[in-house]
Amino acid sequence: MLEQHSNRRTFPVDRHAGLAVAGVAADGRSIVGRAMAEANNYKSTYGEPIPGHVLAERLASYVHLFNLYWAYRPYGVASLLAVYAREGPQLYLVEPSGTMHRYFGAAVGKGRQGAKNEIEKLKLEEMTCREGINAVAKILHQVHDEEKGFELELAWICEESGKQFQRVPQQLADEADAAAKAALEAEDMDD
Amino acid sequence: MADGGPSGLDAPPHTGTTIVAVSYAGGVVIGADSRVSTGTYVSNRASDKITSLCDNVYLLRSGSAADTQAVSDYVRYFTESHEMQLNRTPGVWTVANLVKEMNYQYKHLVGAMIVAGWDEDEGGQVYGCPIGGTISREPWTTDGSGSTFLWGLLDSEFKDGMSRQEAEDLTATALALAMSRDGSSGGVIRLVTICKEGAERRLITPEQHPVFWDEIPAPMGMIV
Repeated sequence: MLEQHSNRRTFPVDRHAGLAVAGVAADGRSIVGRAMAEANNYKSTYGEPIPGHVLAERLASYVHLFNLYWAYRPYGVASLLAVYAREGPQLYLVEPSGTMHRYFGAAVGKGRQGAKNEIEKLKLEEMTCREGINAVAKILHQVHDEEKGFELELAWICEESGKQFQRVPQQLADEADAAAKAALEAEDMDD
Repeated sequence: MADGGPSGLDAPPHTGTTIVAVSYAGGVVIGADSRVSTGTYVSNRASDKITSLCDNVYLLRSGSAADTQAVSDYVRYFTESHEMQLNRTPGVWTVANLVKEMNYQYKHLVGAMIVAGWDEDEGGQVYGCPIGGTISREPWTTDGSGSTFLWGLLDSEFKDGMSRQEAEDLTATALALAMSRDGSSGGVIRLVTICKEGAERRLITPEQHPVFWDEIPAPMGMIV
């Protein structure tokens, strides 16, 4: 009964950056707001898009704040931050403790253990973005309960999207979804 | 004084000034005169109007000496902090933007400045940061009271892709001409050339720089 696209988990932060969150949805939206403000403030002051490590550090230090004072509860989200700046594409994970690290592959949320295992099997250096969305779709299907449906939300920042945050075009997303289901069925048959 | 203000020793220090910045194939050459006047009295005949904001970016100052020194100090501090967080050399545009922000957010400031430098992504760059808070990238620019005499000259003589020597000669000649005609500019010519290898300073004393119509060359050993 839930309307499509009404439970967003991926958000643009600036033209060249985006955030995917897992956890308390409201906290997720709040941290996106902060990220947007930081990116905008940096651009105003320094005249260029915020670099990945700067935004990640600012967000991590913001999240950490909520662990210091008795009046606040910790942030209830782990965030995956994608930035495509001068240094190229970068992925960061910001956790509720306030730590942040840079990754080549990461997963957050309930099914993250399984997802991380699958990611480790991928040859990321050789993968294109198009292959990437297929891989991501497949992993998401794998970690989800087959009986329950879920909405697949894909976004990317790559050459094809003009190095800008873009929701993966519907056609490509549908193809990835279908390919993922087909691949998993094929694997089931092999078993 | 021409501006109708006090001309005695109670006048505020005024960097009368001529400042010039010129880009060439491989970097930028920037130059300034060295006169600071308090009314009609030259309070400093060898001041340095060229300040370094970071290793690869320099600032040329004209207008109020106090305001531009304050801006220079703030921007140098901001740039240093920024460099630490960024973990690489800042772009010239970024530093110029900080100068522009100061001029724009604090409109009472009287700082007509030029930011010039070299970075890996864009090479040599010149940015005009006049009073009010605009910023514009240009192949060359000039400012200060002596600049009025130079627009035509630089329009005529500037060429894209000059060599380092040509650019330095053009800058020095322009400054000498302005210092010859503008009462608020004079003293020595200071030049800084910024390129991939870094920044290099040069000093040209009055005996060394060209002399124009009506000027009496400075006798050896006496700097006017």
